[in-house]
Amino acid sequence: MTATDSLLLNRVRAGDPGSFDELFLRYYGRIYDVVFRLTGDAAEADDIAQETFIRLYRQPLPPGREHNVGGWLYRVAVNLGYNALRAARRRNTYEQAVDVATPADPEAMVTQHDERDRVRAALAELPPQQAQLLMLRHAGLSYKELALALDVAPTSIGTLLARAERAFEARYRATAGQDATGGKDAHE
Amino acid sequence: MHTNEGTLRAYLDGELEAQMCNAVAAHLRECAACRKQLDRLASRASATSHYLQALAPRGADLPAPAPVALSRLHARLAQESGRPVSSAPYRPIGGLLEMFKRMFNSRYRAAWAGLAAALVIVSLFAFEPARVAASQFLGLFRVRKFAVVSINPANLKNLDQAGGQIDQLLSDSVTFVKQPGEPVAVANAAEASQKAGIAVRLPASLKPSSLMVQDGVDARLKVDLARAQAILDVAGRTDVKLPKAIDGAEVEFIVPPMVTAMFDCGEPRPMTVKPADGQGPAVNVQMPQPSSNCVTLMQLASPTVNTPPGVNIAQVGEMALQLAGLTPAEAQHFSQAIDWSSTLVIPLPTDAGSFRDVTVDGVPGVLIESNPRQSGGPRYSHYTLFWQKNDTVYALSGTGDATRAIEIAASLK
Repeated sequence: MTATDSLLLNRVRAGDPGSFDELFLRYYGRIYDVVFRLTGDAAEADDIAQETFIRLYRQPLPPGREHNVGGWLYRVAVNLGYNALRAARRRNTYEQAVDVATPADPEAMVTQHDERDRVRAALAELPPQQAQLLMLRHAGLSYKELALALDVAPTSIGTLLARAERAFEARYRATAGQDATGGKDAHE
Repeated sequence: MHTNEGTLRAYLDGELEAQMCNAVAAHLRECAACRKQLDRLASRASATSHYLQALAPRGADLPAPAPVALSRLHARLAQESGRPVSSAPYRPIGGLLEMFKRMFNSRYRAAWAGLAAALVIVSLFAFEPARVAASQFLGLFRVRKFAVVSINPANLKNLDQAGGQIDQLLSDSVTFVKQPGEPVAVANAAEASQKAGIAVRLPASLKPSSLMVQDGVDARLKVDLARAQAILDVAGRTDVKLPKAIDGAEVEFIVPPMVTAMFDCGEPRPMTVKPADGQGPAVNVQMPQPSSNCVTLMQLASPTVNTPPGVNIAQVGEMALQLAGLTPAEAQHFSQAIDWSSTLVIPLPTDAGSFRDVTVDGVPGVLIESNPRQSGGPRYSHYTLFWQKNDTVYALSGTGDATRAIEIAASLK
């Protein structure tokens, strides 16, 4: 029989390395997935996923929280991933700003900003909690799990999610540029 | 009074309590404005989901197998706590064993059979890849002789169960400096000799039904010890300890061009063999027509494996033998009896065939005869004769009575 997450976490707290490994094997793929969506970089996603588990390893969740190991891992990973996304965009902006010798090539800009880039740009511009909520909901967390992960009331998730989706749509249209039909495909 | 946005959004996701859910459904039947609002929320939710889905990793960006990632995590934890460990970066390409697996995989065997006589035997017996993967990454400097090691097929089951992980055992980095070439028909021994760079020998009395030369392979790989050990651990082989010295070792694997002569085989059928997982090159090969008289002779300069100094090949070899199911004592016994730097070790599951030492072409060789297969392969027995002479490796294979093979070998000129 498969051990539950909370049983494994209890064993981790008791110093059982095998249980930690089992949690890792159980969640690594999913955690990597959600981080990669944010960073778009395999090496960085792996690094952040590992960092997430190292935090669990160093400081296992306190008693009472062990039923939500998955939610905790997701929240930490999405936090770190979102920070990395923001940092990468700041770097890019800085590089573009100092690169005065080469005027921006409009065509190159267009190819750079393919759909994935636009989606990430829109996410990066959202308030952290909104971006995290969207990622976590998309990763499949229930409202109850989302409430635990983001430390908000479960009844407020619907409102927060609707707000986040509206904000995302607006940012996405904006990053899609002057394209007046940018919102059209948002309703396919 | 309209239903608020948050409640509608939760209704969409089926996240409302039953009573609330019924109340909202009832209200929606009455209220066009709320229905419209619900539609807007639904299309926005589905668009958002669509965009986030576009961010999912694909192809090379897919996550490493979790056990592999775990081995890196352990390495990182050890490093952060001050213990010296390997920190070789992971590259998601198959390992050396993957390469060998490909060679021996029934789907690849036709391709690789054209490349490495020294390795052909296993393919001719159509062994399962895991059966042979284990013992083939030996530090083979140059083939001078052959040694068959009998493997208990029961012990190979563990390997099969380890499945896809074993194939990534030793390395995650294989670079093809030179890809396998396509078989090219040549007119005679002289042309074959010129193309292959060896003095090609053919039987005096038999005219080949086809004669082909195929370019060789040059592949390099780097060993990542932490990763390999982690995979072994996951495969339940904590008993097998890899020698530390092989960590980071760069190994070069060269298979020279190969000449294949077929006798009484009819017109060869062209066939393209593609890797099942889409990685690695597709190879065009010529397959003999099935015939009870068909004999295939392959010859090539000895394949070589270059390992860096400091790597104890015997130690690696013993480990491989253990992986193939020998006890440590058996592996050590076998290991001490051979020179790993010049011996190609052929693992032979006892249910697949038998072997005996023979004198062939004036030198010692080994004859392996398969047991007839019950299903899924040739129903007649199959033989392959291996020998090495003047730095050229020969493999002669066919069906039925192996006496004919020894006669053909004796008539080479």
